[in-house]
Amino acid sequence: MKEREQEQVREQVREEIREEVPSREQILVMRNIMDNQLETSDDIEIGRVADIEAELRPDGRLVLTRLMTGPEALAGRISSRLRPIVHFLLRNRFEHGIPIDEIDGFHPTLRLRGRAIDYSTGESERWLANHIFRWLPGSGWKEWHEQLEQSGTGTAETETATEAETRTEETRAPGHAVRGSAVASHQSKHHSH
Amino acid sequence: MKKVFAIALGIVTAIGGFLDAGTVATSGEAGAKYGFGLIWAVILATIEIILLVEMVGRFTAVSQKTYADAIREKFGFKFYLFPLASELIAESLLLAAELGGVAIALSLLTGISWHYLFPVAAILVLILVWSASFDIIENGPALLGLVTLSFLVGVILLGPPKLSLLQTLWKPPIQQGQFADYLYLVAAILGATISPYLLYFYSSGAIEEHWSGKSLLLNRVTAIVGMGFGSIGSLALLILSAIVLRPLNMQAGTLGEIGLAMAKPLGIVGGYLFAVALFSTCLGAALEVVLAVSYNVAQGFGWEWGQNQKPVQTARYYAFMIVFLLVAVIIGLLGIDPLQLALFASTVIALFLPVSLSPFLFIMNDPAYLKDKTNGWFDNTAIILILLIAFAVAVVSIPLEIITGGG
Repeated sequence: MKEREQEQVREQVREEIREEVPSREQILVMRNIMDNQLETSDDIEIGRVADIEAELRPDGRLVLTRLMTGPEALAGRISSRLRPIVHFLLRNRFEHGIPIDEIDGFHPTLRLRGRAIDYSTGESERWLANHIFRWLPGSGWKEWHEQLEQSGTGTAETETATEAETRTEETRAPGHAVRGSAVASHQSKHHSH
Repeated sequence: MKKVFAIALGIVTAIGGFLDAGTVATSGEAGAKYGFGLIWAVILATIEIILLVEMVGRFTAVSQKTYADAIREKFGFKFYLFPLASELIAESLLLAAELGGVAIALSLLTGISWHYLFPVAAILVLILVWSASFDIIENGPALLGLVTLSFLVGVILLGPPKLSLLQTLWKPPIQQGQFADYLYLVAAILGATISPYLLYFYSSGAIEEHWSGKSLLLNRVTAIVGMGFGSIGSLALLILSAIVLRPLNMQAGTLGEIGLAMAKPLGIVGGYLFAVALFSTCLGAALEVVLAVSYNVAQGFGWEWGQNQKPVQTARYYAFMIVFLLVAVIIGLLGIDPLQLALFASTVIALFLPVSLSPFLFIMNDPAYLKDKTNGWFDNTAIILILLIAFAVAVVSIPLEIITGGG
């Protein structure tokens, strides 16, 4: 009974959060999103939000469009001067964007609609597993691989990884993209003046 | 009954897991050089770690977030880099020292030079972190570490100390020119006992063991009773060194020398008990350091993590662990004496304590994480005092390192 009551309270709180939080298009709350944990629908933690991308719409609204992950996005958080250096070294191979439509609710942990295999974020984990750990005894690779094969996701990772990321590209209204880290940097300079 | 068992196990493992190469080194040297004159530092450090461990356990049980999660989410990536960098530097040194401690313990038992046994120690740690579950890693060495209670037996067998030694409790025998060395040991004792890796490990362990709001009693008892009694081993070793080594003008310059303090009351058995105690405490600490830093990195970057999952499911976490262990092995293979390395690592930890501990003041008062379990005035006052002490220690530790030549 107590557990049922607790579950009811939790559901009530979730409902209140859903009502309080404005629609996705009105959100640009860096503090609430930046650095949050990203978790997929199959309960896999694939990384954290390193940066956000927003678009300045013709009507003047700033709309959140993508969550960015990866070392290149993180470099921009440390210093705007570091970003082009890291970009040059990594050749844009490790920056991943997750469309905002993929977020299933804005909570301390951001839950994504897709499975881990649907996103290129976290691909390094799969690469390590498939190319290095598979040869190490006791890694559990065989059982893990069999499980993936049974669920039908064994080898199709690179084909599906970018599907989610490009899905909403076609539906987005045209606008001017800005990065959250750049906005924050601009605001801090503005305040210091 | 299950709850009672969990509490008992928590206390026992906290007792057995309290000591490590750092605390053995600092307690041994403190007793040999200054008699009972640094007991106050050990007690102060113990009180501080009890408070910090209780807080971090409470935080994780209620919020279901680890300490590293909170630092990244609340303070952002830029700030997170500071405690991360300090941990990577300090704990790689400490891990090398712990591996050295394991090697020396094996050397005491087998007679083979610790230099040859160092890689053996590293391989043992690698095998355990690769294949053992969290329960085995946490409880195994800690249960074996109960052998440290033999230090207390040694103290009892030696009988009451002489009055001249007892007086050092309130009047430390600091000779001219030794004050810097005395303060250096204070810094080392604080750094050895209040090691941030304990907080990251304890916090992550609470998630591994599925703690919740119902685990607050277990957390409090483990922190207070477990850590409190755990310091008995540290204090007993200090007292043993004071009674046995100090009159012989032995400075406890090596871990083996500290072991001689057990030989007087217990003979050859005492020597073996010290070796077993050193082995289990250093092995346990090495495992905790490796896991703590790996937890920190994985949680900070949002990777999958956990000892109860297969390596292939948490590939980045395990890959980092292996690299970190390798770095520590490279440091250890430089041949620096593990005791000196442990002392140095402890003061480096002390230097970075303010960076590692300052987030506590904010996260422990955040109702978004802790709901109605935020800190009261006592805990907040304690954190501020701990931070002030940590800051003072940090400020003096670098000059002391230079003046004393690292002890």
